[in-house]
Amino acid sequence: MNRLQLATLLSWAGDAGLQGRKRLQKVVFFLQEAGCPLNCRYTLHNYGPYSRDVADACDEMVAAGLVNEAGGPPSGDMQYTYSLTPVTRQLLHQMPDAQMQAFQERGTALISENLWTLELGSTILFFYLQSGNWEQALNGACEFKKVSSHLQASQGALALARRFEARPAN
Amino acid sequence: MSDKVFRDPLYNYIAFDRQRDGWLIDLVNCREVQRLRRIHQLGVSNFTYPGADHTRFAHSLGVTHLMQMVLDHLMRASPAAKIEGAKQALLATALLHDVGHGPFSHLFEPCLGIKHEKWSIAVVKDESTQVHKVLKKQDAYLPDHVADLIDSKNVKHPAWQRALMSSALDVDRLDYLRRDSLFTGAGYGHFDWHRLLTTIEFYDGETDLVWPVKSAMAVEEYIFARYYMYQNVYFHKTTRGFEQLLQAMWGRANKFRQDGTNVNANPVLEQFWKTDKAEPGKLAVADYLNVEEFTVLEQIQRWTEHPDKPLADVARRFLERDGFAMIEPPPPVNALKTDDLGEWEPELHRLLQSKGYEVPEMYCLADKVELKYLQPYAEEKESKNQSAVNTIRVMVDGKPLAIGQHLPRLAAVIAKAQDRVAYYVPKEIRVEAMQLSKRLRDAAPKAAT
Repeated sequence: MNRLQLATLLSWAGDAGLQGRKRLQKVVFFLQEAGCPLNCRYTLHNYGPYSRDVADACDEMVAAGLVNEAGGPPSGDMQYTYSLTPVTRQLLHQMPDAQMQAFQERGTALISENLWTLELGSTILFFYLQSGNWEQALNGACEFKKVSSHLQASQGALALARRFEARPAN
Repeated sequence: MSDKVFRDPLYNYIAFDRQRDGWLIDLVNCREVQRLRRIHQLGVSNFTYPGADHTRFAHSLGVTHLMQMVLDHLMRASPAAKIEGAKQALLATALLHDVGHGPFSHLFEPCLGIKHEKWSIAVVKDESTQVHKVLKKQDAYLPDHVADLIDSKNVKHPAWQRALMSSALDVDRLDYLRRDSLFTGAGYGHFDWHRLLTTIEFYDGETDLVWPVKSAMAVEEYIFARYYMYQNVYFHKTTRGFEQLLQAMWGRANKFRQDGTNVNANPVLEQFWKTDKAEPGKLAVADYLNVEEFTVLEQIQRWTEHPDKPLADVARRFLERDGFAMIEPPPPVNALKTDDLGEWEPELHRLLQSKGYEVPEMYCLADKVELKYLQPYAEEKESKNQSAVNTIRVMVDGKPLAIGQHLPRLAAVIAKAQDRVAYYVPKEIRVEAMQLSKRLRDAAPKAAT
């Protein structure tokens, strides 16, 4: 994921910014699976799919003064919030990313999605990419996250995952 | 029965119990593992550090030794049965994790269009390989288990098994940092590896791994060792320059193959190039493994006689260690588009042509280093996103805490770097290329970064 792509994604979060690094990870994962060419490598972590590429892209833009970072530790349990600086908004205005704009509607919906639904849904989709079977993916992900697959929240997460299945399974 | 013993400069003796681990000795003797004796651990770093001739074979043995040590420790400190069930798979993974490497390790992957991890998995799973046969004879499920552990996307086994092999602090890194330091002579890879291996503990059942706070200093030393090695060895500008020459040659040859020009390929590469994509399933494992460093060097020697002057010239420069000079380009035109350097490349091409270089793209080589390779250790900032895979944590007051938070003084070392682009040009035009870069830099409006 390059700077222009991340700036475009963060612009969809508006002035309030995108809340939480976990949310950012999952939003990028879903968009990528929907065909958005972000080219981030994901592995499965305790909290679902995680990409060092996403974390790096975000931290690098913060270090470069292109993205504002607010919140976070001292306690370590706090979430960070990310938003664009006025200069970055201006640069983005000069150089819009047409490819990313095609995903704006889905990206905006994901940014405001319930965080647990994003976490479990992305984990289900990750398992689906391994097995190619939704039932196995749901059961595997729920076992991994230690929740029941029959809960309404789990079914909601499954529905979200299925909406983002674009690529054939491995 | 005596142990099978290997002398090793890092550990003195690496010993395998012939009775208990005879199958592991059989695995070492497989032709696919023995091939690793002919793959340089550090690619062409020996162009910079003459002592860096160590191989993937010695490294793989070292990783297996460290895996044995850490498993012995965990078996003493935790329910042994949990470890015992995975022990064979973990030892085999340690030995085989690099078995799919091609010539010159990582650096040649873009030339061949391969990912070594995929080929390591293929070698383990392919029924025709000696490695597969030894694993299967030991346990019918072993090939799949080992392949799963090599696959960074695998979800079939507990996270701690993958974390021991591939995480922010794993047995692979513990071996290569010290081994690379020793053989380059750089001398930076010193840290208390023994403490790190023998104090690691499970956290949150069997899902995660952490260290006690008493090991924080050893972790700090390890991070500094990584920092120094990255700065001085892994991204040494001379080494990177020769890597660029190799890639330029291969790029030129690929272009010729596509337009039907004879590249005078040797028989092994001729076979390799018969498939469109060098991926498992499209190219036979045996044909892939046949491509060795001596194959590549022989091919480069052939190219010194090629009628295409730039290909022949770059091949000669590589073999004679007549490298290019590194130049810093001007900053990007828009801070959001770091690959757009404006007029830099066109102007550099014009300069090269004016000096008689008729194919400027062969003499103007961009080296793009991704941020993640420039940073010795990056940790995930939010605790809710942390695991052993992305963050080294120590137990403080009964809770895991990221080492960067526990030791804030590490901030200077783990601070975020920026993607770096450097250009390599013939030494003969170095001064003029630097002047061009300065002129464009001075003319550019001041950007956000």
